[in-house]
Amino acid sequence: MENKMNEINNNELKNSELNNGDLKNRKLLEVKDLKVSFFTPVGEVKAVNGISYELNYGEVMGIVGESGSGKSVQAYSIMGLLQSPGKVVGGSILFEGEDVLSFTKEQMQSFCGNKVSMIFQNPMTCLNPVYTIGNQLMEAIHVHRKVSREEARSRALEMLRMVGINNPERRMWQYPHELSGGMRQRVMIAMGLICNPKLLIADEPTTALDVTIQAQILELMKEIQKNTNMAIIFITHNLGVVAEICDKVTVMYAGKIVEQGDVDDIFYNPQHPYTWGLLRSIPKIDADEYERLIPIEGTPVDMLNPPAGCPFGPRCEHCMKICLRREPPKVQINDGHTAACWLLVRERMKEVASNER
Amino acid sequence: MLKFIAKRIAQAILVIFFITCITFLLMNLVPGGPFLSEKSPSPEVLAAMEAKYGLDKPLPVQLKNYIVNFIKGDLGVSYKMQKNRPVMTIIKDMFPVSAKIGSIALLLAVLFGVPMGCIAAYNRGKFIDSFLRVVMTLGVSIPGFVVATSLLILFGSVLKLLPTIGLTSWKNYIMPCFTLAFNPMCYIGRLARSSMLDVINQDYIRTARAKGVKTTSIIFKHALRNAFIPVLTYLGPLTAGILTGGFVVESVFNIPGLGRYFVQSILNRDYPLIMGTTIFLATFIVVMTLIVDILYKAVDPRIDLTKGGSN
Amino acid sequence: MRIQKAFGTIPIVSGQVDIDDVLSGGEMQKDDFEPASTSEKENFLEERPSLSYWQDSWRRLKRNRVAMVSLFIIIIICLFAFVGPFFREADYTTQMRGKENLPPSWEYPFGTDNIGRDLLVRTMFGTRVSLIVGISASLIVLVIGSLYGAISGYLGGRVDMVMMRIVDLIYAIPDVLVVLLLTTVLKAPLQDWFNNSSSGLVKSLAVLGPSLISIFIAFGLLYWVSMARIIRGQVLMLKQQEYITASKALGASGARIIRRHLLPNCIGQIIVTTCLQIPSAIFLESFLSFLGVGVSAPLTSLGSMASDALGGMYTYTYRLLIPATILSVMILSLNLFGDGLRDALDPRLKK
Repeated sequence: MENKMNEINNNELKNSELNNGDLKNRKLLEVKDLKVSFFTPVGEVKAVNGISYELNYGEVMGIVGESGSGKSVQAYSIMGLLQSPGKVVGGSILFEGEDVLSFTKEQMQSFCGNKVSMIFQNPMTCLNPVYTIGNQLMEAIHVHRKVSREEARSRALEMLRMVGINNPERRMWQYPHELSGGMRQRVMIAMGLICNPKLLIADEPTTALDVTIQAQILELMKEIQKNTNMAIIFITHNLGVVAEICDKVTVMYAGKIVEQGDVDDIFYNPQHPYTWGLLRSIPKIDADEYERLIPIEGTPVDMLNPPAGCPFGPRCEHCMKICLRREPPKVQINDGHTAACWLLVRERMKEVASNER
Repeated sequence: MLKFIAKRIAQAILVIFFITCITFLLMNLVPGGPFLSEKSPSPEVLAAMEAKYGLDKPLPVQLKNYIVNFIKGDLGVSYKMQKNRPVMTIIKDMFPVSAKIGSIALLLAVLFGVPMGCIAAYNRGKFIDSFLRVVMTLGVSIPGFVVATSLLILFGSVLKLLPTIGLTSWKNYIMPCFTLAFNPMCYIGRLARSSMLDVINQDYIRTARAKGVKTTSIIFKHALRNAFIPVLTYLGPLTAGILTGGFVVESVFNIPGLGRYFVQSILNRDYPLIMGTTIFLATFIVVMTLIVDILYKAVDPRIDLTKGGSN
Repeated sequence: MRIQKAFGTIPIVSGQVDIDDVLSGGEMQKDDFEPASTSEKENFLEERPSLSYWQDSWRRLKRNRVAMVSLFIIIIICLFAFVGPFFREADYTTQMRGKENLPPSWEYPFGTDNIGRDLLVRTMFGTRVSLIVGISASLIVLVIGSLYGAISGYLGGRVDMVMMRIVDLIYAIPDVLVVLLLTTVLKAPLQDWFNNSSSGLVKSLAVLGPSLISIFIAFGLLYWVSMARIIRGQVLMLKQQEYITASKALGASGARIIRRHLLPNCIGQIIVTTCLQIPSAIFLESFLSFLGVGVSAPLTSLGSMASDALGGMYTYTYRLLIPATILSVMILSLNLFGDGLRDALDPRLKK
């Protein structure tokens, strides 16, 4: 007799057509001109200031930026995790055609953990210390599926095995403080995937871990993605990780998207000065000689009173007068690759001028 | 776990022993010692004391005798308050009254304090939060006797709703128990509020919300158990507080409990009674703290109390 | 490719630029594409002025209305207690024959008690005593607690562990019982000492009375533990910082480091804890005085005045309610102000 949980999963997988190659080009998530602000006693902090992107089924997108760029905040708004004083003040988020921002509380609760899951940065504090991990895993199932305790338990064991935790029968009844950081992150991944979500949002999942463990977790995620064809949004400030796992990349700065494109576009044909800066500051393991790591000069922008022009201007070595006066338009470089920079506009205008002569 | 319990019991016994010694030694600072300083009650009693404690023998011997008798349940005889009546009997008579009022107060304090704090925390920044915070700060600031006397005047004299003396009907219990519970209730409320606020901002609550767990479940399953832990650690000092608060409440409401008697014995310098009662009360507090420590371990699996020490 | 323009927002420009469209999005100046100078870049950024820790805290405190009102009340009460008696003719011990048991009137706003003493003056004096006891006890706690905690935290290791175990032991002792016990025990010996000694210091101590002295002793023995724990926590945190290592490398002795570097950086915590200790001390003293084991005649405090008034509670209600109210308001204000201080000095909340 087949386990009811497995039956549900298999049916879902069959019906969801995730394994169908055609889906690769269908839109799963559409974020349009999203604006999120925090209304603090000292003023409105525009954490996310109008960003738009799309994600297809099965795609892995990396969102890169420094602290304060708004990359985590926009993810929280997808999951409805924004706490006051933060609020979405504009734009829309469409998941499979539905407007997530207009969900009721009940709709949100059946959405999170089920269609979309999120894992967070610090695995040491993300699990409730007074309950066993088995309890917390099974809770993730019981919230969304009507199955018996036995079935939930066997599904939880299955997930623990899938994320590479050995001796899962014993681990189930251990408390979080008895597990190492890497193992806790694996448990978090298991918990996120337990209901076969279509999208996994990973908010800097490896930042707080040792480098060796980082590599293991990345490998694990790559393998899972290949097997389940799940879409992933991978938020990080580490371009090296992006190169490992992502299909496309979005670069954010000060609440705006400065460049977007396929991973090849970004790494081999970057067009925005901020992206150049990020790429230059990655230490290369195969550098021929002693190359200097070139950091990006200057301090991050004050989000309370964002200045009028391009927010990256003061830190940019190519900054022009217009950059300080007006926001740069989004320029299309080729299919799927855009960047917001006046340098590109200058190039085009020179071309047009020379063509006109 | 059993090893832990055994270790804590041994610790408790040590503390009680320590307290007994110190109390006895301190009492001997009174010129003449606790048994001889007052004009002795009567030759027979004096002879009995001599036999039990050896009043001319050196101090350590007296101490040993006292402890031996303590274990047997004999704490001496009252000199002044109830001449020649054994201290232990007096305690046995009076303590149940205090215990009754104290336990009701304890229950009230926890049952009302925790929800009060949680409601304030959950509605942080709104009016109900500010209101409850004012009430709780009031409760922590107003001394017990002020509450007691104010209630007496308001309900006993002005409104004439509640009886003021004695313990005849359940109505008699309302004011004393409420007075005794008010301060601890507000302290627990403040503790619960700050602890709940702390917990709500923890990452694991965010994880639960990201999993789609229902709000009621988040509050009652995930948050409350974690928030309750600091409240639990307070229960030890709380017992001590209710015990000592009882002194005032019993005095003001004229309740024939051990607290009131104890205070009177101090004012009357009935040394054997003072000594015996102090040791008894201290022992009680130590035992209660022990029970709380064991409960604590059951609630929070992280804590390894065998290691002890402060964090 | 066609150019799309979104009204009021950034025009999305494609590969071939339509200059008109970009131009109509806003005015373009001739030198727009010239590089921007460093000074232009700097003007672009407004720096918010940074405030020192104390300025920032004081600003935050001033914004807290509850704390400011409490401070105001505290100041008024202090004036009442310390300056008030100068405006009254009678002393707190003066008994005026023929003026016993007067109700409140213009001449005697709080009335007189059963032996003809002006209750207004007595209340002022009682408030003074309560305040002084509270502050003195807190100072004792401050000195012992911060030194103990700083030393324990600084030395670390075994010594720290032992010292903290002692703290745990003391923490477990029921305080009120100890105070009561000490009062009982010390009454006779202290009385002898007072009577037999001729030194002026002892005579002034005698004024306090054995019970009050027992209270102070109890504070010195028991109540410093929470302060010690807090300071130790701070010191443990501060110890990690580089300027401590630098001082040690320069050869500074432990005592010097504690005195000049560690303790000054704990001042925030010290102030807040001491400020919150004062109402605690007043609370305890009033509680004990009410029971009769606090201040002894002729000294009076708010607690003992309430106790005195207990007998005539229903007939002379005001005699009980007035000291009780002043006491409660005083403790409440001190608590609220202490809370406000703590919020203001908490660096985590820095905006």
